[in-house]
Amino acid sequence: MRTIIITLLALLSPPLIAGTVTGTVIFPKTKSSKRIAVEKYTGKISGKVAKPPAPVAGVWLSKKGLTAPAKPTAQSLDQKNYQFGKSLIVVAKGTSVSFPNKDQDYHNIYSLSKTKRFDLGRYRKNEKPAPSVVFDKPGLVELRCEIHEHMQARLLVVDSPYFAPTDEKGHFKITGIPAGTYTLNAQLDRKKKWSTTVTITAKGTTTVTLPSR
Amino acid sequence: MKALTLLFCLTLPTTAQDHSDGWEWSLGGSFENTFLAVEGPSPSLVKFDEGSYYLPRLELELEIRPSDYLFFHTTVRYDRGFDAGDVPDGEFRIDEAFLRYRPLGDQRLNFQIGKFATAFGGYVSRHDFYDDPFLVAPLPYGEILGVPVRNPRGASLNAIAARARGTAPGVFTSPKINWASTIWGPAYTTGASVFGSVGKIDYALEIKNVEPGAHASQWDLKSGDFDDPTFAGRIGYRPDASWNLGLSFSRGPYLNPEANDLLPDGLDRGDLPNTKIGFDARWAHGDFIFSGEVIYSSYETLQTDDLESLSWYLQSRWKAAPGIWLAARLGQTINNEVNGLEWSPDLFRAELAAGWRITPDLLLKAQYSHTTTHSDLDGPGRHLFGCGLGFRF
Repeated sequence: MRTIIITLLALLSPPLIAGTVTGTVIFPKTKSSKRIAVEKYTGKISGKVAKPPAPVAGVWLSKKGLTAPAKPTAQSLDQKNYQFGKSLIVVAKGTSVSFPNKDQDYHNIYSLSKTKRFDLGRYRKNEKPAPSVVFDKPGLVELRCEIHEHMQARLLVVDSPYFAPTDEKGHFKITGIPAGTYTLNAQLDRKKKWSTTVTITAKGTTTVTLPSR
Repeated sequence: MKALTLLFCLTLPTTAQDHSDGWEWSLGGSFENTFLAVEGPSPSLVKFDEGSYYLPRLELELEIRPSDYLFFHTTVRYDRGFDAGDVPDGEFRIDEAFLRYRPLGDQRLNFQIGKFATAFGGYVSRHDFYDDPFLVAPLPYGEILGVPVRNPRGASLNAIAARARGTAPGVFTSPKINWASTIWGPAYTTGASVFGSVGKIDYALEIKNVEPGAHASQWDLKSGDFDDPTFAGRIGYRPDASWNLGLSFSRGPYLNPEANDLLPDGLDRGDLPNTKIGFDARWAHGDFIFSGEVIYSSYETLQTDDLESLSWYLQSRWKAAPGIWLAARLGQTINNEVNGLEWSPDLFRAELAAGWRITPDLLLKAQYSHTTTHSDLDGPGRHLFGCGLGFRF
């Protein structure tokens, strides 16, 4: 009975004393490496190509002893209209991410990043189960499609339970954070990353702008 | 080589792109370093005697898309000849430059004009360094036939007999520019085309200045003529993402324009056409890609029966690990006899290749080709070894 009570308290208490961090990541002007999404030769694209998703950054809190949840919720990053669904997703270390294909033609998602090297091979629309990869090491993973050179996305693996992507204007919000002092990190791509120290107060909201002014 | 290095250094900072306000343009390219070693006479479309050869190639690609309806592309290369060794001191070359108009704003209907790769077959769309697991083209696209293109009398019975007896230079011991290939690499010939994809069907029809088996020196607008154009096309069917099937055809004169002066009165090169029919198939799933083609080619000549050739290849690629693949290819060319005489040697080629994509833009490839000649005629050398390192920017 005592164990149950302690467990319930542990589960219920963080939101009661939890704080929030919100703010903005100011994106520097970046040079996209994307090629024009028109085929020089035919045979790889049989539908209309969508505009690439807008760039977003990943934001997360880190602190000594803070680690990702033991069993993070599975995530998904689809490919539709010959683009990735999002330009970047943030996942906790240990997350399984599936890559469903929603186009008529093949996709072949791969990464040669040090954080995670994988190659899903060619897979078709709605293939069951959708190919998936477990990301077991924190860091940035750059995703490409071997068939469609213009398709590029990033996956940010963090060793933290507190993270969120920004929107395309750089705004973010992370809730449910126990009070304390943390390092707030943000990353846009391989080179552009920032961090600052933040103090989260119980039931309070801390507002931050990155890079710090 | 100094010029190449300087050009490469100057190019790097200019690599750029813009996607603002509907206008899109990009300038990129690659720097490929290929080393080939052959046992002469060199097999494939390479031009150097027995030994080894270094082939650096700088490629720049400019693409401009003012709207969904217009697209311009050009590929400029600096190397030692389109066929390795053709121009040992190096040359700049515009290999592709075309303007595409898409009246529907998508891939269903395209009109294209300029200098661009042939629509024939299934290899051409995957011939770029980063798409092709091999360093040299498959047999139908990468080996000459004993079809003389500069002198129509080279296909006479006397000339064929002299080559068979060894009293005249053989096909593989005289310059490759004298001969046709079934298809000469990607055949960046000049002209116009209409093409597109509607549902599971792909279609393409083109009118070009020369036929797709013509030597690279004939591809520019200044060569050939549109009084005797070549018509080519392909109809493709993709029942699902795994399969890609296609039927191709081409018909046009195979003789170079200067051969008109050597033809009897009343005849011109248009009276001696080449007809090609091809079937290509490709299947892919997971870590495997299998593809193959068979091409029948027939050449009308002045004095003999038609010269007929059948050439095929089958290839597979298997990804062994992320970024690492192995590939194998078999190919064969079989030719008819004219009055009991062989006019071109029958060839069989087995090839192995391996590739390592070190980063998405840095690729290392290696290849070995073994060619055997099933004929009394002299054929190309047996062995070709190559390795190449390409960096894309």
